[in-house]
Amino acid sequence: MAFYFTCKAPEVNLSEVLRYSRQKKNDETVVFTKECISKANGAVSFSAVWDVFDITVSGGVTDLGPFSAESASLAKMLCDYSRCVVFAATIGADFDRLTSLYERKSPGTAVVLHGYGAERVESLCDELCGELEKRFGKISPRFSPGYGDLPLGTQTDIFRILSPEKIGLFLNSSLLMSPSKSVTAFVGVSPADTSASR
Amino acid sequence: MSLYEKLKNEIILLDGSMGTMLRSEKLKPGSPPELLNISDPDAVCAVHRAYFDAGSDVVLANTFGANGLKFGQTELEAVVEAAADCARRAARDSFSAREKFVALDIGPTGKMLSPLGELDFEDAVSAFAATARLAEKYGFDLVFIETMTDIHETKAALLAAKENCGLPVFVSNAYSEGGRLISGATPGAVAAVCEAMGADAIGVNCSFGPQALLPVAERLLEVCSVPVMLKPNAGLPKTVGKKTVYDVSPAEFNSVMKKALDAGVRLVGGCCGTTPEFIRLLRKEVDSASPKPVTEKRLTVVTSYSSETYFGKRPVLIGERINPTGKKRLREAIEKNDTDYILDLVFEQQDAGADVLDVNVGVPGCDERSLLCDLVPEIQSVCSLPLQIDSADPAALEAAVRIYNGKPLINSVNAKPESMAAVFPIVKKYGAAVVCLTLDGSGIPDTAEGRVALAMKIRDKAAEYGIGENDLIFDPLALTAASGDKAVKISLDAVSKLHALGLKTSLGVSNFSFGLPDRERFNAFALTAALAGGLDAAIANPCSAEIMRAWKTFSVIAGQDEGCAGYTEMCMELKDSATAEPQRPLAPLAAADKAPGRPVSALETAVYNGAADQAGAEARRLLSDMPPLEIVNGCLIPALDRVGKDYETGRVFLPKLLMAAQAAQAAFAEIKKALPEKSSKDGTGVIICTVEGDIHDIGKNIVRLLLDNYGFDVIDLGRDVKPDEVLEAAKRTGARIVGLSALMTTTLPAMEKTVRLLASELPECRVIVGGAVLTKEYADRIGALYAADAMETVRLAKAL
Repeated sequence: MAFYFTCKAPEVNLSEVLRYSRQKKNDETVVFTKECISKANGAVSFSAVWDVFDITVSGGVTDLGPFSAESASLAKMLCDYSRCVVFAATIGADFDRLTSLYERKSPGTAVVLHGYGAERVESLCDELCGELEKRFGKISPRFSPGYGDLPLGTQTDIFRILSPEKIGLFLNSSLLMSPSKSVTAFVGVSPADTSASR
Repeated sequence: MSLYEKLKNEIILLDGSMGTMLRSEKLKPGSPPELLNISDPDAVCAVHRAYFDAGSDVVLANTFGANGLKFGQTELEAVVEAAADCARRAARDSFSAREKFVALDIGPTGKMLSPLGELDFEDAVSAFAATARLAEKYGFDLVFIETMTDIHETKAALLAAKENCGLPVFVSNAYSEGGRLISGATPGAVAAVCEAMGADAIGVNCSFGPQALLPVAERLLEVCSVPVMLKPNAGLPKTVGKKTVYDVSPAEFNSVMKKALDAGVRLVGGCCGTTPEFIRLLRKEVDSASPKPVTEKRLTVVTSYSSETYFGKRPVLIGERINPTGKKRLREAIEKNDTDYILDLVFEQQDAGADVLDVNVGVPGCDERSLLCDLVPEIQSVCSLPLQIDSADPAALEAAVRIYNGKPLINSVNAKPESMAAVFPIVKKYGAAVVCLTLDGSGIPDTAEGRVALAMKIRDKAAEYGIGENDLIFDPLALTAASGDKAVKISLDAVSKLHALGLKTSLGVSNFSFGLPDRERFNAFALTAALAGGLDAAIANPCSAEIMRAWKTFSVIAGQDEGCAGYTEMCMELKDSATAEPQRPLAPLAAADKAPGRPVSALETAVYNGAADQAGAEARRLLSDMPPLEIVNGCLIPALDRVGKDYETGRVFLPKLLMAAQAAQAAFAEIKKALPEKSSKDGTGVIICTVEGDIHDIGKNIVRLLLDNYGFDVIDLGRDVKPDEVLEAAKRTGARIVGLSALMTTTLPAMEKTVRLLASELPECRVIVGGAVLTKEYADRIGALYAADAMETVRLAKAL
């Protein structure tokens, strides 16, 4: 049974929005970026679903119980941990509607909004990981399907065990997620058992 | 007692969670719970029996995920049959003496519907139909659609149930913490769609604990004319030691459910985390409560995918501009499938404050049905207003209304028997509201009384189809004032008479001024008079300042604009647009930006700075004393080249490049008007699309905009395009440059397949590829040209 996470809007990291939208910081780009961000008012929500598994790591394979992930880089990251959190996070479908509207209406604005969406979903992941850290103590960096040698096909397993459809997150046959501004990841958590509540 | 009678007279107790009960004993994470119906029927039966013993009237069979997407037909039927057996056996074995009902449970597919996801609406209907078809065969008493998070998927499931069985259908949705569906719909919108399509009970389940869902149930009670259900989780899961438990106790759960019963909820039960213990307590509560009557709300309402618009609360403005009658440019756009032009009309009207948009694509010689079916989802993907589907062709109407995401308004039916026979079944089946024109085979009556008489005839016939008068909006027809002294007065009198009868009305007010001078002002006065007579909606041009003045002013006079907020906002906007030159100071071009010895025009500066409005105005000004092509070559192209060069050298960034391209387009649109009729572009044809399986198209759209600006004739096939469709388009259009985009590694094979197909069938065709995962090496290997970004695509295309 998975746990749900939601949070208030984290503070916007403007430098990251500029970086994701491939702009350099100057007076003009900052003003324009802020103007674009104001158009996303109300279109971003913050939801995640996660679960924790006991893991065994051996020979580049991480066994979580319900499934195993074959990836030397993931195994390397998790080898010091005995448990692992798997999560799926999204900023929601309204944001995709907004970006598709601006792709039609003002493609320049849409580029900045895409950067903003990327920053928002990463901030959501940061908030969730902060929460995991409070709960479990030491945690590893996050590691997503498609990074290094962790196959994108792992998405299928993650979706099977978390059912993130309940937070409005879906996987299509090309293993792309809808809404597009979504993240799935593994995070190693320290063995200390705690009481989890969401 | 039949289930319908029970629904009418009693409070119905549903069951609690199946998953929680099975999971604690039998269920492995990730394995389909429905297979237990076959592998361990005793375990499933025991859960049902525990709920019947605890006092449930209805249990949901273990078929939540049993649909045509998750199971093959044979396995699906076996799972459903076994589920029915388990529940029936539990009903027989239970010691409860109550009458027992078994529901076929239908949960979501787990896929997101297009356009945001990839599941086609009709595929969703088919997946649910595969299950619904088994409902009567295996003796279920009702269909229970539950935990749906999207209004479109809810509609697909309800449609499948209605098309494939004759049982009662209950519909329940899962809401997010903000009280809307995860896909954004309000409870009012969900209720409007489900009730109009014939759901027998509407409710909320799963989600959060009972306390969080109570407000949703209360909202449903305000708007539903059918019984309302509440079936919440026992709060949210938490782990205590090694066990997972929910944080709301049976007693706490019960105290909230008591409030729900007092408020008028008629069906109660529990979802995730609830057990027979919860249901046992709830039984006592239900037994001591008396059922509140379910009242008719008689709401006239239409919806988008997210929100509802009521008629009768404040005047509704229906934007009239997407209708090709008398509009040459729109007719051309429809003929050429120029969606961008149509979407611009959508944006203009939405921004101007329209409440509903009329969509009419009836152009002689065009396939109206297929045009509407393409355009309606396209509009709904960028517009959150309800649509009025406008067609004289019942087949086109039905196809569009079927796939529409929400409850649409149909335009229109009239009092001719053949019109009513064609349109009313569509209104009833798909749950729409309909505009009713007061005319018949003898034409339009020339008295208000005559038009009202036809309205009565339409109302009575609609009732025979089970369509309530709340879903009828009567249009007593606006004829031009030039057609007779009393023409306007007759229409307005008819509005007043219909209003006095408690019926809703609409008028196409722009028709009043046909053939007269100063039409906008005339329309505005006629509109004000009609509103004063009780008009509920007008089909008009929301981009007309006169209309908006009349509209907003009337809202204040009628006491419908709190604090005059809408009125003052409109005044500010009108003032802004009147003094809008220039909108913002433009950064002058630095000396280094200027070509030596050549003055920089204001148009060039406007384009460089991405100021679309100014670019358009400046182009208009220049056209008075400069030949159009000189403006293009002397101002537009240099500005684009400059911003392009600055982009490539890292002095400006992608957003600004695109803003400049858009400003150039605005200028180009003005210049185009001054060019001879013949194609203003003599450019080369370029086909672009994202490859099969790839739905991310921002990169492709950027490329389109830039190519367009540089004079290429861009044929955009959209996203997720199959290799043979690309080939077919290249053959059909004669385009010899194809641009393919892919975002993900998983879609690269489709790209390769497309490139190879084109190479073998059309070797003279050159393919340019791009996208996040592409490299030059990969492009070389598959025999395509590689463009690192949009500007490079332009350069490559120019070189070809």
